[in-house]
Amino acid sequence: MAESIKKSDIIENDILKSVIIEFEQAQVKIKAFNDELRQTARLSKDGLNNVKFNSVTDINQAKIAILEANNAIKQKVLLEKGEIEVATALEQAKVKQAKAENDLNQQKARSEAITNKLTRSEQMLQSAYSRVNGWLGKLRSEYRDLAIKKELNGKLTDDEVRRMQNIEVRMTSYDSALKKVDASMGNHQRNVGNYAMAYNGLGNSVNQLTREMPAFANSVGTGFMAISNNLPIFFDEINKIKQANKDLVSQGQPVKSVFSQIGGAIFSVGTALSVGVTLLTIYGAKIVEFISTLGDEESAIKDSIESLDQRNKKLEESIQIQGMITSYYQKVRDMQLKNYELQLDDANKEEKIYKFRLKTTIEYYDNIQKELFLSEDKTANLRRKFRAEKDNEKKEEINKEIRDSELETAKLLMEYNTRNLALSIIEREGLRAREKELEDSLKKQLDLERKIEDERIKRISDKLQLDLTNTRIEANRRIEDLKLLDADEKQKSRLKKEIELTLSFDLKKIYEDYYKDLEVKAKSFYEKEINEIIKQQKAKEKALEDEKNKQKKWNDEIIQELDLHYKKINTEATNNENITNEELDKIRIENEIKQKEDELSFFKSRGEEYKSEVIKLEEEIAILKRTSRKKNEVSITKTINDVVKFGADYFIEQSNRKIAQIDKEQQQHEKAYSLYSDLAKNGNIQAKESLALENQQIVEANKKKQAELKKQAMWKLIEGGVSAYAKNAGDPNVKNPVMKTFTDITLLTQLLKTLPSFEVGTENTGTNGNGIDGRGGFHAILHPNERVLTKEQNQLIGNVSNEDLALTMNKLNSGELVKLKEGATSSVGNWQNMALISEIQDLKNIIKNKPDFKIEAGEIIQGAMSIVETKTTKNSIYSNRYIVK
Amino acid sequence: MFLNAWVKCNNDEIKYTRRTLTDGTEQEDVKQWEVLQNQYLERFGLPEDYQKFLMLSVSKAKAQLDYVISGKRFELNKITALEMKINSLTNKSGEEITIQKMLNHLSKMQGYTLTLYNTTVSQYFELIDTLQKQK
Repeated sequence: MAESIKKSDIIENDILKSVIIEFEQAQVKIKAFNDELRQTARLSKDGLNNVKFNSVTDINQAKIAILEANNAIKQKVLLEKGEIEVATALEQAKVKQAKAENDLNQQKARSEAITNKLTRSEQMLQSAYSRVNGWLGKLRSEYRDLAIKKELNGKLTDDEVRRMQNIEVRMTSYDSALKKVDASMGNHQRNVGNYAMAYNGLGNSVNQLTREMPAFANSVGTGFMAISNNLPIFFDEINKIKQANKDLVSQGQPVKSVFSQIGGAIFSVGTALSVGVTLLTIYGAKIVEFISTLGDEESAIKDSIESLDQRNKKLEESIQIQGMITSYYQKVRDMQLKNYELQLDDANKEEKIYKFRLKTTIEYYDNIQKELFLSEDKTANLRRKFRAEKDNEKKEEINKEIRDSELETAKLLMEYNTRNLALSIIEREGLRAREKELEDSLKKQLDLERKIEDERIKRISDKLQLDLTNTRIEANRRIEDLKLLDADEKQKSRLKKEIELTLSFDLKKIYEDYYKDLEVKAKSFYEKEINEIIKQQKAKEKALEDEKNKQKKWNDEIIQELDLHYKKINTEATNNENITNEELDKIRIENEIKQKEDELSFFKSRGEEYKSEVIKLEEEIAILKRTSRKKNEVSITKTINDVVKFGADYFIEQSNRKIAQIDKEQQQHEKAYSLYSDLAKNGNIQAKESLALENQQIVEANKKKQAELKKQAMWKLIEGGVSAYAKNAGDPNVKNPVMKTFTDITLLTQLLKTLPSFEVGTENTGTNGNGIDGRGGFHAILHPNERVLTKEQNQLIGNVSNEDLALTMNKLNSGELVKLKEGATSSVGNWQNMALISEIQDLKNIIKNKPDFKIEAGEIIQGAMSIVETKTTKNSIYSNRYIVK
Repeated sequence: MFLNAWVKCNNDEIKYTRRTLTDGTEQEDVKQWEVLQNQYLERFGLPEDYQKFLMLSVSKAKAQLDYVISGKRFELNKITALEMKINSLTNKSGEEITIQKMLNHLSKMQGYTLTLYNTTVSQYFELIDTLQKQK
């Protein structure tokens, strides 16, 4: 049996679809309502914009508008809430519907697969049944031929005799199999005349009577009371036999005696058993006593156990056989259905043949008519030709042709009339027979179709579908029966409409009943499902809570462990207070290296599989080792760095002092040189000698100064180098810090050599920059207290030389150069006048900008007198208080 | 109009707009009460606090309508702020001053007894006005 699609699933899917549609409609409605509300709100707002409070009416209107706004916002909030709820519900319904649809599709696929499988099985079985039936028919035909031959000739050949015997055996076998198959489908056509196989009502009633016989063991009265219920059935059965015999007599068939049948019923197995039970009831004790005297009790029990076992075994076999038979009958039913369908095809074929014959006949009749018409036409043409022809000879020829044509027409006419007559005879004589034949064929066809329908209905498991199909088929059959009804078309049409109307009501009622029932079921189902969900949710929450508790417990344990660990560490640290942070770091790194090495050895032991892990670990260990080494180096380097820095600072300071001393001496030498120079100009010879000596002293002082500066540079270089080394030593990625430092310093030195220096100053840095900042910038060396101007500032001062700039500014600062007015300066030559003008200008400015102070008593504010101070500068007046004008 | 009738009218007993209580209809009462209120507004204007309250209520209504129109939730903040302002205006702490108390006060100020029955509405409000100005 094919697995049918659950109707509840289809309904659920449909319900969900309709729910989705309803939700969508609700959304549309909410949107429309929202729009309407918005429109109203706009109007209310327009009213509020022009609100005034000049009269009571205005105030009342404002109050109404305020109330309206309050209501509007309440409605808006409700709408928003509804919108959210609908959207959520819609989403949920969509998810459920998708799931339901998916389930339904899966069920459909499964059902189709099973149906296909069953169809194939049916076809196979059907073909087997037809084959056997066909073989039986052939065998019977052959048997009949041989039998008639034997009757006519008196004897058969040896081969024929053997063949006949063989046929008998096969016929019996096939016939018995087919009979069983038919019987399984309630078709006992093959058992017509075989009354022994029919239901034996008499035997049954006698059995009922004999079953009550043990009651006579109590008393005769009880016995008769027990059988009194079954006696009427017994008498009815006797009457039935009598009636059956009468029917047989009327049909001219032999009858079976009533008494012989009663005798047969009385002496049946069931009756014998009942009599046996009665005897056992009456004489049971004595029989048992008798049996016990016959043999050993133990052997009797053993025998009874064995017999019980055998009985059980037979029962099991019987159950198995019963199962097989049931399955077999099911298959046979399917075969029968197929057979009906084939027969239906045959019925349709007969109808088609008849229609074909009729069509052929009509076509033939039409053809003759056509030929006749053509022939008559030909004759008419010839006659026209004859009349037009003047030549007598030709006329004679045409006349001959006309005669031939007339003869042919006459022949065709004769044939046409004969056909016409034959057709009318067929129609007249055959019409009735044909009608009957058609009617029979139609009935046969209807019967077969109904049998097929019945078989199909039996296969419908769904209640709704079954009810609907039954109702529809019943109505259809009533409509089909109308065709056979002796009534006019109008009446038939009216009856048909009535049937259809009744059908629609019936179907509606079936649907209503079904959905009512389904609704109740669905409600209970969803309630159950919701409860289940709540239950699951609670279980989940509980599990989550348990998990949290578990996690908390673990966390507590970890915290405890960590506490213990840190306490231990603290204790150790307290015990070893002398250990520095660097040493602790070192220990930590060593421990880490050890751990990684253990891990490495573990992975190495695993071989190729963990090669990448091994490489990774080796790299990590190398880095850790380098870090450890660097730590040592850094601590040492730091010390060296400190020492070097201290040394450098000290030596540079000393060097600076020396330079200062040299400068002082140099200045003294320069002064002396200047003095000696003046004296030498006046002709003092000693002064000339001293002049050379002083000059030499100045040169030596310069040399010493240069040497000191070089020393300072060297110390700075050393300090930088050590600092760079300390930095490189601390970087675990630098494998050789000494080499790196050396390379860095070399590069730096080379770079410094290539960089331009402005030790003597410059007015213009030129345009040869390599653009390191994208604007033509370049590296350069600058020294303390130097000045750098921008390009714009340089342009502003007219690109004058540094020397001129310094000189001008110096003069300006010393008052030698006076600023007359904005953008103009005096020449150095008449600076005295200019200074005067400048002084006058200053005085004028001072007088002009002199502030005018006024102090007066203000208002008494909070019991204290405030002083109002007013200051007038140029055209602006400043006061420390607000003044009311 | 004496103060007694004014108080009654304010308590929704607007038949006190009549000179004779049995003479007149309710419709006429409504009309007359409106006329009287308008006269009061014309002469003394709306009380300052009440005017503020109305203005705030109108602003709040506008904000509410803005929210309904636009659906933007930040409008709700505006509404809440205005509600707070209105609440602060309506929940002003202080002793509630009844008309009788005020009359007692004014009597003391004037030096003679002022009652609901011998004081007209215009007298009462003008005296209050004067008192406020003196303060």
